[in-house]
Amino acid sequence: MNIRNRLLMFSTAQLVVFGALCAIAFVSFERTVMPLFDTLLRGKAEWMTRIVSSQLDVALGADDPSLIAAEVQYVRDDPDFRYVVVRDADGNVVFSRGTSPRGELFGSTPYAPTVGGDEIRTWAPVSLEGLSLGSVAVVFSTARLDHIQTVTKQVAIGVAVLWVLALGYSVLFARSFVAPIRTMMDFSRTVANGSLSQRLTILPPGELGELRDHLNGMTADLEERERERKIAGAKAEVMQQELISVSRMAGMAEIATGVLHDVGNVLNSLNVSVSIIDNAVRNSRIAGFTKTVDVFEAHPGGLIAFLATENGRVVPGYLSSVAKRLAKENAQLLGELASVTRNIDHIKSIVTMQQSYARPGGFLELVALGPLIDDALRMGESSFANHGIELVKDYGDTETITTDRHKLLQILINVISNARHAVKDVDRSTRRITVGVRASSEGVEIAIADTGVGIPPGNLDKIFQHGFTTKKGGHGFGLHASANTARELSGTLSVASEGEGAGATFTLMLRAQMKGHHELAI
Amino acid sequence: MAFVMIAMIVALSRDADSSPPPRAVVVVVAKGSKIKSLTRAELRRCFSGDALVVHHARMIPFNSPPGSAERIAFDRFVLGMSPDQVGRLWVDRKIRGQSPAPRSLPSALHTTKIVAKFPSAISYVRVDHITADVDVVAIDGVLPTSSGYPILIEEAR
Ligand SMILES: Nc1ncnc2c1ncn2[C@@H]1O[C@H](COP(=O)(O)OP(=O)(O)OP(=O)(O)O)[C@@H](O)[C@H]1O
Ligand SMILES: [Mg+2]
Repeated sequence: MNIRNRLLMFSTAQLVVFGALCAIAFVSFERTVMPLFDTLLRGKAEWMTRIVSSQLDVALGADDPSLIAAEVQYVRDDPDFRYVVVRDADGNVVFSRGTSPRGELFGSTPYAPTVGGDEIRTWAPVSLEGLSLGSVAVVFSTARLDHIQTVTKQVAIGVAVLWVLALGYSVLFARSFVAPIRTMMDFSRTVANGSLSQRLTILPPGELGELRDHLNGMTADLEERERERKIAGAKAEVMQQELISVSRMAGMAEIATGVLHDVGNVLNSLNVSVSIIDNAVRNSRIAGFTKTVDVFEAHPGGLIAFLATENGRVVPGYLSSVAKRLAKENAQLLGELASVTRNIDHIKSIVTMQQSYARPGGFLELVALGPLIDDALRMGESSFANHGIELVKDYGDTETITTDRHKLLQILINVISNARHAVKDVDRSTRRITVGVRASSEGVEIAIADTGVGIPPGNLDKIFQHGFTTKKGGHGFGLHASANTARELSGTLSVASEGEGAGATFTLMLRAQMKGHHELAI
Repeated sequence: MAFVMIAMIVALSRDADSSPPPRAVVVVVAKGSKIKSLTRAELRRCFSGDALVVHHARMIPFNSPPGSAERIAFDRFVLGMSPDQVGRLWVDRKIRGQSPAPRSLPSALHTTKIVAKFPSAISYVRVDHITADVDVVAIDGVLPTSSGYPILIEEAR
């Protein structure tokens, strides 16, 4: 049921109760009070007549008009009094006052009141000690009683009219009360549907007016907030786009940095190999041999004739030594070429690896740790020699482990490169790098210790952060990438240093569960 | 005969020797009544609530107001009682459910008028209130005009 009908129900119920109460009051008044008044009036008529008749005896007996008048005075003083008449024993009127009514006054039973028209009549005989003296009749008006009845009816009609008016008013009130609420409901529905620019324009009285102001205020607030939200949303959109492109660029930069960094490390040793090959080719015996062959061909009669000369006798020995030297040179060049090939292979894998940067895992294979560490050291071997760095290898428990060769190699190259840099800056006598491998309870530990510059305690937890470096031209990328890669291999990379000048030890721990697992994951 | 008596009384009243004393209280009945004289005993019966029938008619007594001089004098002679004793007598009779005291009439005028009207009515008034409509009754044969009339208002002391 809607509010209007409920309000109507409520007020109608009140009106019905009120009306019922009035009807009950009216009916019970008519049924009880009016008859009571009627009885009282009849009773009054009777006993007043009785009293006056008993008091009149002496006056009537003595024919004393003034005494008669005095005796009936109190009847005449009654507000309902209309007429009194006293007759003597012969029926002659000896006294009368008031308005004489029509009809016989002494016809009915004595004392019994007769009601007719707007009056009540009674009469009574007057006697003195058994001596009949005459009679007295009294007439009372019922006007007061009738008036009460008339007023009651008028009040009842008035109440009924009021009742109907109240009903009409409550209908109108319910309507006028509910109309603004309905408008507000419609309004809030519209606002809820998003029309925030709407405002309520109705003018309801009192609290409803306040409610309208609140609603308008709230809607205005909502509108303002919605506007701000849209602006902020647009800003956020722009910022997000910027952030996306920035992070994309950052990601690309990191990948590029990684590739350049790792390739740079490898290029070092590639350079060394290339300069060795260059030296070997430049100092090759081929040049002398070519000159010798030119000398042979310049001799008259050619090579055959020269062989026959004195000088020609040493040629076979010379040729044999040249052949030996060339074979040696060839072997050296092949060795360096193999190193170049390995380095190029690693560069290739670095690029491939960085292209699949986001992919977890890689190509797993059985890797013998000793040769792999040697490979890593070799990639900077000439540097050790150039700077007088002593290299100590302690592969006590050389292990075979299932892992990603290139990722492991990359970690080792980074750590060894850092160690080399660290020892380069200290006294010659103490330049040493020790590489140890040993099996631990958890798996394999590869420790690379140096006698370099050391790490101040404050930096120990910073060195794995991306971008932290103390070097001129450093990137602060190597250890960050290495630690991440170690995690990819289910291992850890940790550091220990006694402080500045006390050297540092980096330990790569690889978990044993990787041992013996031959699987291929891409 | 009553006329003669009245005339006689009037005549007597003019005569200083034989006029009734002004303090006399006389018993009156309607004019022309057959009752000329009553004994004290008859009066007592009539005024103390017992019926007194004379000549086949029951007499109806009326009193003077209580405390009036004629009432006191009448009660003292007829009933032989003081006003207090009379008061007690009527209270006593009322308690026993016996007939009440005779009605008191407000004045001598009313008394004479009512007595004159009803032949069976009997009452008493001071001698100077007698009207022409009533007859005076002799007490034990003694008329007020005679010396030795028994009902007299006591002189104020
Ligand atoms: N063996 C070491 N002895 C002393 N300090 C070291 C050692 N290894 C690393 N560090 C310190 O850790 C820092 C970070 O090393 P990291 O390899 O991450 O960056 P980098 O070597 O400075 O630059 P790059 O990214 O080119 O390798 C170095 O700058 C250096 O201060
Ligand atoms: Mg580094």
